[in-house]
Amino acid sequence: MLNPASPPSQAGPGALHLALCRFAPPLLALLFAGVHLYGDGSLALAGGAVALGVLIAIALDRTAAPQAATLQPYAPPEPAASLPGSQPAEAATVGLDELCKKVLPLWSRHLEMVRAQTEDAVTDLAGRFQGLTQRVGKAMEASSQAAGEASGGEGLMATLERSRDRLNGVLSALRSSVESRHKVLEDMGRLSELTDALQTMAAEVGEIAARTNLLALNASIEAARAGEAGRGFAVVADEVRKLSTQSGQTGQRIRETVDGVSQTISQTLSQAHTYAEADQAGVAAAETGVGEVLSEFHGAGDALARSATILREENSGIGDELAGVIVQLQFQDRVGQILTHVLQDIAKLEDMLSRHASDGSSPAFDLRAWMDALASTYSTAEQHAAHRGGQGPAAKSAPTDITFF
Amino acid sequence: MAKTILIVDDSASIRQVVKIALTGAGYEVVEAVDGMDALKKLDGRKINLVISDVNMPNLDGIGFVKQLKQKSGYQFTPVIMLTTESEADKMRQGKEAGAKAWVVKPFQPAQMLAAVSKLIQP
Repeated sequence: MLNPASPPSQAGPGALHLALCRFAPPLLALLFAGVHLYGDGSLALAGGAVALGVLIAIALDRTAAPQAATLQPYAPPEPAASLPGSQPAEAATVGLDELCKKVLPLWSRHLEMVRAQTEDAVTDLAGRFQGLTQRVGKAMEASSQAAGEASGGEGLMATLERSRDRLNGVLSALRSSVESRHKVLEDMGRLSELTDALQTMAAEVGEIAARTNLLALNASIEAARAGEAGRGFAVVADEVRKLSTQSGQTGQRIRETVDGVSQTISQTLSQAHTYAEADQAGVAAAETGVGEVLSEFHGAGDALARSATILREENSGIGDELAGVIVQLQFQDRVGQILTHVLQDIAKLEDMLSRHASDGSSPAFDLRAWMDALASTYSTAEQHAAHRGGQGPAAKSAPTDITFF
Repeated sequence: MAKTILIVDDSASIRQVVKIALTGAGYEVVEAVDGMDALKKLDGRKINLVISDVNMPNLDGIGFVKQLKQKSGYQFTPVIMLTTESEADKMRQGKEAGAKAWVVKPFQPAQMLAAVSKLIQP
């Protein structure tokens, strides 16, 4: 532990204390400028920075005291026991420069580890975000195609429209068939009227035959009354009577045949009317059924289209979110640069301490030159602000205008 | 045929997010980790545009652009500098080296794509 009551240190360590007093605040400020402003995604980095901050703060707390301190032996809670294979115990009491030579490389390794881990994680994270976005995009594309909303796509809505056209064609053909049957029925109705005329004509034939028969009978009577002179006439009258009888019989057969035809036509007409009514009802049922089925399909299609629309809107929103993620993930680059600058400065300090240790001289620093050199490495506005003692402006998260040359 | 864009940045995460933005818009991407690596990656291949960081190890962005402009076939390849630097002096150096645009990180993908389509030859 450090002992504030210890006597002042010699010139070397004192210069080092002063140097740490001057360097550490801007370094800490730089680290936290790179960390706290991006708080949400920088836990690992914050942990590393806090650890470094605590270590430097401990040193500052002691070295910034009015009287410079020397380091006292670190007292472990229990007697130190060498682990198998461990290095022999080092000197328990060391100066601040010796401590720095030991811990600075350690801090550097930790900071580098934080930087590398953050970069790997952010790179992986960006890739995963892209993968998610691509998968949502594919789902949206598939859904749009299914709903027929993709440009030029053959989706459900297009299929439904085509099916509607085809089914309407089938219904139209059915209606046309029914109309043809109606026409046949009308023709058959006219045929029935013709059989009535035939019946009348057959009756007229029978009437003429009866009258001819009566006329032939009268002629036979008159021929008999004429005696020998009417003998030839009697033969003729007899033949006429036979013909009239045959005519009457033929008229009767015509009437019977026409009756049969009329009855058959009537039965066929009645049956055809029954079939036509059934056809009409069938067409009507088919129209209703097709309409209902198409309506149901349209309902399903509309739901699918609405779903595709929602998915498309969500995909657009996810695209915007990915753009925001891309902006925010760039914090790693800014933080990485700040860490790199801090690492370079730690390495520089470490190198200077090593060189002084090798030639036995006491380290002395040109503070202004050191601070200026540190400032010259900065690449962000917040680093410059932090260097001047502030916390720095909020890290850039809003996009800037592009400068074209 | 897709246009090819060379991304030069020592930060893998920046290369990744730039790549996401560009490939999403149909561009092909070639990556390089610094200026020296970028010069090797050229290898005579057709590069329609370069997006380069400024502060990089081995060969920084300004030095890389200067050398790019000396190479046959790349004198007229447009370059966008993508960097955290916003100092006027740095921007002047970029302009003098031959860059066509200067974008300060973080960049907005839509903005970057607009700049790319403005500079790239149709």
